[in-house]
Amino acid sequence: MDDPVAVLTVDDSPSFLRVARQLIAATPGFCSVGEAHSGEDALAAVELLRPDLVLLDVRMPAMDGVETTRHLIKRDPHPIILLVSSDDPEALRDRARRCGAAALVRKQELAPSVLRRLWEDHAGAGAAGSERSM
Amino acid sequence: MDTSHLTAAPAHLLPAKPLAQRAPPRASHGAWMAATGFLGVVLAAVSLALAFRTGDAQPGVAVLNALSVGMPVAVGLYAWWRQSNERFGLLLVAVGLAYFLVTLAVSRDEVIYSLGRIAAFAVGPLVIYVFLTFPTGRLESRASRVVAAGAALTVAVLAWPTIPLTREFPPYFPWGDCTTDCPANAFFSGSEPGIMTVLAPAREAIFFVFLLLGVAVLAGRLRAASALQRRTLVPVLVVAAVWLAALAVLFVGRRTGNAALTGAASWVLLAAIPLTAVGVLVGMLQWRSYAGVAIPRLIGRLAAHPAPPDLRRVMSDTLNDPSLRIAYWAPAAGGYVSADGVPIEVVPDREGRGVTPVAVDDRPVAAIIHDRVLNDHPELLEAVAAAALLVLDRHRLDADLNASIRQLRESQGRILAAADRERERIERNLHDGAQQRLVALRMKLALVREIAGTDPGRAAVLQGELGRDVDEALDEIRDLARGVYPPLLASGGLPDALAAVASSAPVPTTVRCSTRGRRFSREIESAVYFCCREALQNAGKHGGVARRVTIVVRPQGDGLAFDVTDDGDGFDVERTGAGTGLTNMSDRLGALGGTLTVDSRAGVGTAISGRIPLR
Repeated sequence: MDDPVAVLTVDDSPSFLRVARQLIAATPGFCSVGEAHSGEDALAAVELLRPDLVLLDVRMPAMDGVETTRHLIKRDPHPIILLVSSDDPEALRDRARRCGAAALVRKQELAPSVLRRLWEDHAGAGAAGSERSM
Repeated sequence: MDTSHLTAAPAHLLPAKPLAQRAPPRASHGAWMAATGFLGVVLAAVSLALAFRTGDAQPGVAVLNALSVGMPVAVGLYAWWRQSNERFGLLLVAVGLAYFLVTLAVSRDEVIYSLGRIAAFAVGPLVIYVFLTFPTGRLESRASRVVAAGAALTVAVLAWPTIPLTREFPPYFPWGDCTTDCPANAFFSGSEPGIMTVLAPAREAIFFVFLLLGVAVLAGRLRAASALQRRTLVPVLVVAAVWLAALAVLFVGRRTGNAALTGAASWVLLAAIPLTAVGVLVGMLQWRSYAGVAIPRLIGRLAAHPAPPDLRRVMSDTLNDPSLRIAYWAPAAGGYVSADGVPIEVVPDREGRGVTPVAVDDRPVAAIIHDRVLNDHPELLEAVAAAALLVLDRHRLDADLNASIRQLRESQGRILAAADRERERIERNLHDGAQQRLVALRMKLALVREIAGTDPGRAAVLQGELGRDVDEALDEIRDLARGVYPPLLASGGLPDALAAVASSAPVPTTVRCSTRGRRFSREIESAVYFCCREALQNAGKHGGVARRVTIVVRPQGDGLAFDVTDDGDGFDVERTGAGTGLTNMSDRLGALGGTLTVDSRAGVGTAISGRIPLR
């Protein structure tokens, strides 16, 4: 990859956005192209910024992460969508699998190595919706 | 359950003078009645004498005329005395007395005869008026007013002004005993314009149309009436229809010169007024005799102390009103409720309903909601209410209790819902606040560990932030805990906790707490604290330009009392009702047996006061 992976972070929590920014900055080959605070804003941001990877929080008011994923995939299947959650992911796994996201990850486990691995697994596999890492 | 925190019942719901205290006719009325009765007898006798003086009098006509004077007066007086259909009774009396003028038309003297004929023009509109105002004596609908006015105008415009212009009055006059050989018009001016030949038939036709409309109005009333009202209206409609038919026959006979037709119609019209009076009397007596049978039967059925639905059915059967309902007076609800404690709005005169309050001395017991027709039979209502009083009073106690229980359940429901909302709020705040910070902290730790070797500079920067991140998380948790149950309240009691709230309030707030270090139970202190805090927030949000808020907490009697006063814009307590904040406060205090009072005056300010008794 010559161009850095463009990452869009979506979460209504400012704490996560701050640390995600630092995480992406510390991960070689990745750069943050923008942040959104809600599902609605995410749809507009994806269209405007054309990211390669979207970090999408599950629990948000109004439109949650799962529903946002469905809308995003319908409009543009290109970006890889990683659902993140601070709650127990097991409870969400079924819904996440069905909506078309590439993976569901606990926020606490996010680290540069994890981010790189997830990207390589799914970018290499091509289209979003791969079953392998779910 | 102390209910003084509910607004008092509006005045119109409080019972008026109970039935048992209805005043008997005044002594002066008695004198008027006697005088009127005497006058009626005199006039009837005079009309008889007048008729027989003319020599070739027809006895039948004379007697019926006298009865047409006497009977309406007699029946009208009876109705007036009985205080049943009073207004209509007075109307009947007036009709009877006025009819005397019509009987003058038996005279052979030109002037007297003419006076009688002139008066006779008014019989038609008067009869229509009587039909349309039965049984209340008032014209209730716009349609009836139009018809009555139209009939009156027909006479006022097309009959009376034409009298100087007509040589002879129309022949075949029912209420006199001359047919074609009647005296001439004593007030004839001498010239009879040609238009008169057309005017009389036209007038009769127009008048007939108004009578037809009157019958239509009655039929319409009948269709819209309840079963009970129909029983009283049907006879009236029948008599009115007979009048209509007889008048039609008279007019036709008059124009075609057919004596047989006019003769038959005349007898019917002659007998109509006495018969109508008899009909009204029979109707009134029917109710009285019915009461004589129905009340003992009612008392028998009440002996078994029927339950509320059975009581309703028994009273409904007795009064012949299937729509009858009973509402019980419940101070707990501040108004009338059903037997189950559900509030009922009791408004008389709405949709043909009448309301009869039942009371013992000044203590309201219940209200009987019934068909308005029964308002004309107060003695029957009185008897039923008196017979059922004991049972009604017992049910009233149950209804009051049920109303209290209902309110208690509703209050409990609200408290539980509020507790649920509170839990959700705490969970949400924890998740969105402290939890997010801790998750971010965890991520940062993992990040630092991972890049420590490859990017030590950045790692050091991140590491330096960790301390501040922990502090912020701690602050977040501390704030949340304070919102749930303030640590200051637990340790220092109300003075300290309220002082803290006051210091961070948007409006300058003074706290005066005279509990002198005395502590109360956790529930009581918590309730006072949160009520004061809520009231303070309200003052800031809705108080407008409040300059100062004062919180006073003091022991009162054997309880704890608080007042939160502001000098803001005030608000309309009645109209705003209980906003959720006020209901919450009321519920909190009510759960501890306390009360809340809200007093607000526009432009002056608001005072929210509460009192909790100690257990």
